[in-house]
Amino acid sequence: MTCQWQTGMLVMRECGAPATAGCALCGRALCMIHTSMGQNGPACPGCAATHDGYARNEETELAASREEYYRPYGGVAGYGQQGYFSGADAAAMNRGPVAQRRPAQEDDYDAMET
Amino acid sequence: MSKQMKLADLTPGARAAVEQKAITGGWDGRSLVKLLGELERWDNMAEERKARAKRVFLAGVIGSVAGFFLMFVVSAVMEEFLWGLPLFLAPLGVLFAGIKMKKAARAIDLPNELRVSLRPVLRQLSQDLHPEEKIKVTLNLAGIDENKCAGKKDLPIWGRNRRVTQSTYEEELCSLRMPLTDGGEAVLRMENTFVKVERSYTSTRGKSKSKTKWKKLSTVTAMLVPAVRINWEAGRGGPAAKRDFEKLSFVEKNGVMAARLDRYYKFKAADEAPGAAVPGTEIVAMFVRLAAMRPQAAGGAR
Repeated sequence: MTCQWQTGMLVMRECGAPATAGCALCGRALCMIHTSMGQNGPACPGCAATHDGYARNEETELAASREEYYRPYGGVAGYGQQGYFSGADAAAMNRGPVAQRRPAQEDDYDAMET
Repeated sequence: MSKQMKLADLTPGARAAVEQKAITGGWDGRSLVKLLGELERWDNMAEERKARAKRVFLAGVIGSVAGFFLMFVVSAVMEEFLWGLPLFLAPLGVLFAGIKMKKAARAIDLPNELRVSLRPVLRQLSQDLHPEEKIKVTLNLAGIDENKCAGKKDLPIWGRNRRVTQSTYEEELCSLRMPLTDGGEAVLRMENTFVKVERSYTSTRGKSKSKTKWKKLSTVTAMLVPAVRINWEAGRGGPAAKRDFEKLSFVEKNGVMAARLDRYYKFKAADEAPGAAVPGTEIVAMFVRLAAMRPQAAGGAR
């Protein structure tokens, strides 16, 4: 079992580290880094950010701000569910945990040029 | 602690950035955030010095005016002009010291965008940055140079104005190309245009006066270049862009379609160039808005 917490702001993907606990509030499997201990037991950064009794840290801050940023677009709740992206989706988009980048561009490449 | 901060206390990278007033080249995300953190502390120290210099300068101005009149009063009472002279010269010295301190503080000051805009953006996007790829950075820390005027013109005169002059200064603040973990790229570019309007006029009492007003027009461009060709779903990017404030466009880049969002901001101040900057949260929100327009399979919003 691997950690199911979705990291990232623009490119969300599962953490993938070996899971050591589960979120007592949403049931996700969590690694040590993404486990916050509090009054309701272990929690993922997302649940820890929205429930009392958990200490704030960098992960919970990021989770809270991400939820805030995505609220106008339907929130990020769907990203947290396992299987949100099917294998076919991922294959179609060539997405992996960390995809290989395209060959390096020429030095004079200006991404902003229109 | 920050008051005693000196150039020698900075790491070589930060020292080079402060001395050259620029950061360029390829940086990994963590190092860049660290460097910006160090420069943020330096800038905070510079801001403190600026505030102190302003206080000294104001004390000098008030003291000089008061001292000028006191000089005559004391001279008349003591029947000797030399007795009153120090009352004017001492605050005048403070005034000159204030001017010197202001100049020195301005010389070491860094653009506020560094701590208000860029560092928060890099921190928030830290998990999206490709761990093995470098961020290509071109960051201009020199700030506005009033000797390099991009354009100066006289504006039409109205009312009691005798002359109205508008000067424009351009500042290309930064260009960041951030490789993302999915193979795509997030590009951020910030540009500032400073507009200075100097107005000299005759007051109702017939005195000649002048006033200066500053405007800072900031353009923030966020662009997402996906790793593979995708069909952007502009309808998911929230309400239609307001034409005056932002522009959304899609541009072809090396066989893929990139989404670009330009947003415009205006800051105003009197006497000196505005120090306000676009908050980092606004810039992250721009990137999120672009990210939300990707198809779901490419990581877009629901």
